[in-house]
Amino acid sequence: MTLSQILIGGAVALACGTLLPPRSRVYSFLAASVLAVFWFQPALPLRGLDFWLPVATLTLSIFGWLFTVPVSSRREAQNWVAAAIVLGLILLLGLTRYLNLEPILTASRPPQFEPILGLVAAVGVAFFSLTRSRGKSFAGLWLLTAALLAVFVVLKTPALGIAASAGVRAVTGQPTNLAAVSDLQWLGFSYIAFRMIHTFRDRQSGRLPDVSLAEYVTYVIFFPSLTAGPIDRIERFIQDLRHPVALGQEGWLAAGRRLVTGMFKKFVLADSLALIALNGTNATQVRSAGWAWVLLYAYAFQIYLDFSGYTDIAIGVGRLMGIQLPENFNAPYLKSNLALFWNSWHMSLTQWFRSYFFNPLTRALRSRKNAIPVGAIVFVSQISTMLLIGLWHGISTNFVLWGLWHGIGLFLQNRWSELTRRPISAWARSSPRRTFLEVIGVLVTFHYVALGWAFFALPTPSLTLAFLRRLAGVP
Amino acid sequence: MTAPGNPHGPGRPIRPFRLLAKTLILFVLANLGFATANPSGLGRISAYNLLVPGRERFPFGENSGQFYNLSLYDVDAMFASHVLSAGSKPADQYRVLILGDSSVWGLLLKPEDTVAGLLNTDHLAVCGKPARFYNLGYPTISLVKDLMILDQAADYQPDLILWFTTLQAFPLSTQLASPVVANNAPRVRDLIARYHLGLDPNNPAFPPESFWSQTIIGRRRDLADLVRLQLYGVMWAATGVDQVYPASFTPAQRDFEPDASFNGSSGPTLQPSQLAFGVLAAGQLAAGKVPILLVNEPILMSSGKNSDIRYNLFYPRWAYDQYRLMLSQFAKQIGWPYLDVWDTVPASEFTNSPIHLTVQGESILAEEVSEAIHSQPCS
Amino acid sequence: MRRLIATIFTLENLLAIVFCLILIALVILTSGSGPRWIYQGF
Repeated sequence: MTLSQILIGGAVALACGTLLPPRSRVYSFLAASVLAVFWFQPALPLRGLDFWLPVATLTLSIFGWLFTVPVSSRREAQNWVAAAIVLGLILLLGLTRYLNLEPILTASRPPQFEPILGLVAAVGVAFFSLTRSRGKSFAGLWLLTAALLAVFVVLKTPALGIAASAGVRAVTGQPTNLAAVSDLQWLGFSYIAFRMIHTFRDRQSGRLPDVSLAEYVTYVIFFPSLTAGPIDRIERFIQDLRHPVALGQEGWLAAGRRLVTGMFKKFVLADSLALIALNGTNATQVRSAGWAWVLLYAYAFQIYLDFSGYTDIAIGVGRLMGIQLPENFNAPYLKSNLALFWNSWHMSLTQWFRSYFFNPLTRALRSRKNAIPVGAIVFVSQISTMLLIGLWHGISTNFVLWGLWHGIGLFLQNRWSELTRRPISAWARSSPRRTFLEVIGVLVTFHYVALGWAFFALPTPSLTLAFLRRLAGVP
Repeated sequence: MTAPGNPHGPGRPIRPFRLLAKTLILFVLANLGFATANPSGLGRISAYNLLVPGRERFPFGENSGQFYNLSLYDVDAMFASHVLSAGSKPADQYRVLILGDSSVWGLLLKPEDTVAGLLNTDHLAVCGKPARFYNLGYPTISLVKDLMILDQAADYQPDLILWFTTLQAFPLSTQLASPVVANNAPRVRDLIARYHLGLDPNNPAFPPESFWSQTIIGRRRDLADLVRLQLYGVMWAATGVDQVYPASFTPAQRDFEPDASFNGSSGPTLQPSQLAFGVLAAGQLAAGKVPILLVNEPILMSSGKNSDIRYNLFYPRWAYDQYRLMLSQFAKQIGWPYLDVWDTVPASEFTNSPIHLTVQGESILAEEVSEAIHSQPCS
Repeated sequence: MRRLIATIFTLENLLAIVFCLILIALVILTSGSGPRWIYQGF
């Protein structure tokens, strides 16, 4: 998101949250979020794709709702209104093709209107059919989950992304030899997919409340958190949607403070640090260990400030709309061990994985007939969870190694804590000693995390290894 | 949120809209204050030569993400980032400043492969002192640009100035085509006044100035460039990279149309009145007692199509030959030592322009310059 | 005098100064970073 998009988004949030009557709140949030999906989508070299990807997002959201909503609730009139808003806005944006103006709300000139109309009609017919269907939708849920994960894998795996881009290029008549991973930048897909999978899982376990189409789609594509999270839980989100957190003086101040802080962190600090942060090019150019550490530290703080800045902006804008989005960061670099770090970094993602992978896996391993040692359970659970978190960021060797780095670190920290809990409590009776241990813990944890960022920032294991050697002063 | 310890009573609430109003009023006042004060020395605040080493040449870059460098208009910042500003001049240093264009700056060359870099590598001793050469070349060809740099560089106690030039720097009509000149109107106007350059201080090439353009908002890009230049200093220190060296480039043109024009004229006479010899002469005033060695830099002498009409893309033969004569006469009149190396570098040692040399070409040039320096009397 | 200082340096006023400085930093550092000019001397 650019600064101007944030400022306009904030103004829209203010208008939607304060000026519009409560009855139209959810529809105005929905309309704003639908427009934002198109507006925030970056322009792509593949003809028309920067229009079709937002359409795909909205289509997936509609089907996600159709497969999660109880049968009895599908036919409520309010859902038809919501469907009309979503599909109508798609058509309206498609019609801007014929205005002969510079695209404002779309990344580029929309494609031909006929295919758009055809797709909207098809979605409308499917919507009509499914709302009338009495069948339970668990098969649809698994299908949709599989589809989301398949798209996820394609987008995150460089080789598959290039192949997919080549395929699209063949269809659009564009040169296939220019296919690149960057051709398929699907705005916010990682977050959208995980929000939807969360609703599917909660539907299957019976935890999902009854939500309207407008509420569901607004949750999935809520524009303040569209590009960089946090990944909210729908149960919590719709509580605020239905009973908005009052703004008041305190709310204004809180929202304003978060917005200003977020913009400062992102556009002043993070974007400045980006000029000197570690990347695949400067890693090969850096001439000394000292400067290599500077580049690494710059990256560590840049990624934190960039990400937490966006979160602050999302929380601030959400607050203006009466939605209290969850926190995503809690001073992670000031934590004295890796477990605490992971309880403070990208909290919404780790909570997602904890709920839908780590806890179920741990429970399953613990409840086995042949007892598995606790240490082994911890090892398997932590390593596999961190591996998946690594793969969520990208399907490549370096993200796997990053996940392993943290998984192993968590396991070793867990075992260390077990072994040393008594002797350390015995030693650290005085406040200075506890402070000393705290400081050491913070420094060790920060540097462990920072070294892990080398895997994150650099594209290949060989380059990462070479850079780590440079950090150690080894030529 | 409340304000503890407030004399109006504890817990006076902070009103968000009042806070917003105060913020905006302060912002407006800051802009007005900035425009009124019009601070001109901000560029002198620099992390270079303090936190990071100074650059071996002026900052210049078209792709800042790859160059770790950028082109800015603030001459003070350019000097502050240069290694020339690293503390006071050592007592035993023979300081040589080299002025010139992109060929001196070293497009496509590493700093150590430029004429300044090669001369430093040779560890010359001049007049009994170790010589240190400072690259003050800057891309774009304009004598006013050179004078502007010389005027400031003279404060750095040089012992000798090498002024590399070529005909392309002389036309009066293109003096302000150099963006760093066009965007330093006050400085250039001051030069025009002090040195009686005979140029129009109200040349339309100078961007219009207004009070608005002097506010923080109006000067935001200049201010951002200052900040970014400091950050790129970290990358300069960490990597030594200040330019991208592409694997291939388009070689300088060697075949031409049968076109004998130069600067809108087809000859046969080069008009001295249209050339900025007055600006060149003003260099003597700017340099004071410091000797100037004038160098007519090497040019590409093509042997391709219509090379009987043109030496290269820049110069038809008639114009360049006359220029060489004029320059030589000028140097005699003003009493400057003159080194004419226009034809010393073979055509194979030029890169992407009629004046840009390869490393080998720079070596040939450096040797000539070194001889010329050693033939100068010591003051 | 102390009253005057306390009146001026309220939390609200200090926040306004901080926010103003942040706004200035934002205005400056969000300016474009494309090249100011392109070398044409070929």
